[in-house]
Amino acid sequence: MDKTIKPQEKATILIVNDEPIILKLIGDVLAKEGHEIYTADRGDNALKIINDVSIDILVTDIKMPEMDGVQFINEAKKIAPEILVIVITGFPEIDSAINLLKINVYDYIVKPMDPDDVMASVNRAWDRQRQNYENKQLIQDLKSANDLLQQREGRFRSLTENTSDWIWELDVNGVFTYSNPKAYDILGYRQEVIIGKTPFDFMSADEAQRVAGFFRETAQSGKPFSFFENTNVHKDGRHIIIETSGVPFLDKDGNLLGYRGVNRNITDRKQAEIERKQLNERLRESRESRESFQAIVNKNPGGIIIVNKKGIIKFVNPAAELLFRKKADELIGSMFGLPLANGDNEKMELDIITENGKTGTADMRVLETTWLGEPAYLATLFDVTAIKEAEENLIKTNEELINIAQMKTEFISIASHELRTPLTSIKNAVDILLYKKAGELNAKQEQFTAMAAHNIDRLVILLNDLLDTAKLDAGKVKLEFAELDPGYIFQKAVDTFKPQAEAKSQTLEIDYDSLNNIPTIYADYAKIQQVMNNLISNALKFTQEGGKVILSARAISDFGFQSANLKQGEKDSAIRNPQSAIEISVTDNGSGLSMDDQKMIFDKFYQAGHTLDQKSKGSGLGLNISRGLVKAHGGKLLVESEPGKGCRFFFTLPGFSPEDIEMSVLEIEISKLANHPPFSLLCLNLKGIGPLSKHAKGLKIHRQFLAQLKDVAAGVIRQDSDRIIMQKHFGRLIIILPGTAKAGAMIVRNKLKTAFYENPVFFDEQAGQVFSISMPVTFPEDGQIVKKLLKKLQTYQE
Amino acid sequence: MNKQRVLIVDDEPDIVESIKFNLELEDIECLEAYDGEEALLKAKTQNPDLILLDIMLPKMNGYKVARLLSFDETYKNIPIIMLTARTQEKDVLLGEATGAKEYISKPFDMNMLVALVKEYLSKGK
Repeated sequence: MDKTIKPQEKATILIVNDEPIILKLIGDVLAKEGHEIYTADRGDNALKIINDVSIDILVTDIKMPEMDGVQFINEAKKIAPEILVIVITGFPEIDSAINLLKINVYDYIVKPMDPDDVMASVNRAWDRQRQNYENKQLIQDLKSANDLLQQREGRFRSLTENTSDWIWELDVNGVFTYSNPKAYDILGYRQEVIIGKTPFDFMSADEAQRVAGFFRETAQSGKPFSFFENTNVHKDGRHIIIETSGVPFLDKDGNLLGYRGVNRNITDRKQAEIERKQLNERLRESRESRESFQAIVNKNPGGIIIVNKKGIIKFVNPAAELLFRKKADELIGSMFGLPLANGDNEKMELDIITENGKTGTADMRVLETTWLGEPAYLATLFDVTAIKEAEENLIKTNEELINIAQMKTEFISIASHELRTPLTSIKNAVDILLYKKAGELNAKQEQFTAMAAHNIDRLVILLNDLLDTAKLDAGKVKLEFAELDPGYIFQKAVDTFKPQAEAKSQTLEIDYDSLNNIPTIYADYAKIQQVMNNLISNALKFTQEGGKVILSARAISDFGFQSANLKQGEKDSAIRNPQSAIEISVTDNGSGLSMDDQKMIFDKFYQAGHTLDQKSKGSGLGLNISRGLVKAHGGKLLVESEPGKGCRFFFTLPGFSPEDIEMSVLEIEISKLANHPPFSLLCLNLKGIGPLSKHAKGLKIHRQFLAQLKDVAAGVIRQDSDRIIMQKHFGRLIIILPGTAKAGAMIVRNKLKTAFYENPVFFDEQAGQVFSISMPVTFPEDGQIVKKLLKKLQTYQE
Repeated sequence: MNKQRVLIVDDEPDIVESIKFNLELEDIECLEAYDGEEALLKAKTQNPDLILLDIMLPKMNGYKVARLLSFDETYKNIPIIMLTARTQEKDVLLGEATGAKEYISKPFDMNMLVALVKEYLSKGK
């Protein structure tokens, strides 16, 4: 039994002896020392006492009345193993002293004993015992401390080993001196690998640099840090984001020994953050998008209505509310009441009541759509009341303008007529006088009559010019296109102006070389002659005596074709296929024109400053008219000049011919079909009759004939898509059969032959067939280029 | 030998007179008419060898006169020279379509007109 071991000042001593005198003697001596004394005269009593009391020292005689001394000591030691025994023994019992040594007696005293010896022995024993006790206490304390330490270490270990965080310790150089096993879970490296390396060894180069720098700074400051994020590389190459916190630890002098801390794997958290941000972003975008669309729908000035297939209104936007003058909750759920199923996006008109209670119109377009998963109609409405009004006004205004233009033309026409009539009489009267048909005239009479005659001529020119200008302005110049030979025009002009030129010793000549390689042009002969006359007249007027005027022409390729005064279809094809063109020039070596003059010379009534001949001053409209006439042909009239170096007036004329136009139209038609093969062509050639131009006389008959042919042919060909193109100038009909291959085309050909046999068409009462039907030409079989196909058609004549 | 006879039709007396003056110098007999109806009547009754015909006439315009004459076998061969102040292209075409030989716009060169008249008269012989 573990009695409480207490370090005391005085011992508790048990003296055992069967002689009471000795008991007393020893007792007194020891009591004087201050010890606590117990006595017993028998072994069993002594044992009892030892049992009850905590005895430090046992002083006992070896001889006991009722038991063996050794046995007694053994028993005592059993009860109190710590007890120190001093034995009193007589000489003769020395042998048994050896036994006593065996039982570990502290000391023995031989009788007769000296009480001082007893006292000394007890004191020694007590010192010894006290030491024992102290040692024991120390050991026990140590044991407790150790136990506590173990306990704590156990607690600590189970925490660090089992935590989900990576716990580490670094020295001042950043080398791992401790790492818990969690490093393996986080980075894939075992503790043994970690320890001895630095954290930077597990990072990419850039990151290592950054983090090492951070550690250096922190270590210098000796401060703790928390939640420092850094990216490490897992053994398998993955990037792991770690959140690190650490605190410094110091030695007893306050020097930094290193840092200890915790690493937490926040890769997932970071990922989750990113994903959360993305999700939020997407939600936000989706919401914004939805809001934007809502805004569009709500702010749309046009009414938007959704009606389901049963005709019930499901949705209206604010604009629609306005149009129907009802609120959304009134409209939604009610019948729309108007037909909607008229096909996709067809436009319909609705009558509505506008703000001020008047009736108006709205445009409605209906589309099929879905609404909340079900098929429905989307109707967009737009209040077009104002637009319609404006349209009607515009039409009215337009009509008025046309009226005014018409009136203007009529006015000019009437005015010019009214002016001409008296002018004619004046001229006639003056001419009678001037030509002396009413008698002789003296010199003065003749002079002044001549003056009158001259001015009448001027007036006539002015009148004609004014009328021309008005017609050009009104776009009412109709051109009669015909084949034109520039050489012929030049010659006529020279003939006209030769006398005038000779009067001033001027040379008016034609550059014949320039006429060699120019294409045929098509223009209105009278108008072009007018232009030439105007230019030549100007040239002669503005050139000095003995000067020179040259007429020349040249072919040009790009002449910037403007819109010509042609029928619509012809115009388009001409633009698409600008053939050749020519440029006609009237060049003089007169005084030239200044830049200012050049700019304004084509303006109405503008006269260049230095008319050489006051008498021959014109109306100032000539060039304006010439420019307008050239423009009507689709060309341009321009001037090139330097003061002192003469002038060159030049104009362009397009080189297309009616044949060209007809061919272009045909080519365009055929080109359209190239995307939908196959197709075939047949040609009805008017043999012996030839092109239209050779039949000026029988124009009408020729046209009638072709028209009749076309009628018969139309009766034969089957489909709406088949086309018959009349080429008057080639004297033929081209039949286009889309989607038809050679065999089909042959059938059509045979049908045509039969039809013409049954319905003969005569040209100018000539009996017999005057035309032939070619063999069919098929695309792509007979060729892939339109021009080649047409050429083949020519050769496929019977 | 019968003198050549020309019917001058114009609603302007001055013009008629000045033409008449010039033609008579050429020894050509002149008849006058001042409106379409009169023109038609005189053309049918007076046997002119040539008609100078203005278009803008009261009662019946020159086109109609010319057309009516062209339908009549007896008169369709009388050469007609149309004179007019109207210079629209369509007028020209119309004029040609009615069978007129020439179409002269006013004011004209009298010498040229006289020469033209003489030419057609000599053709007719």
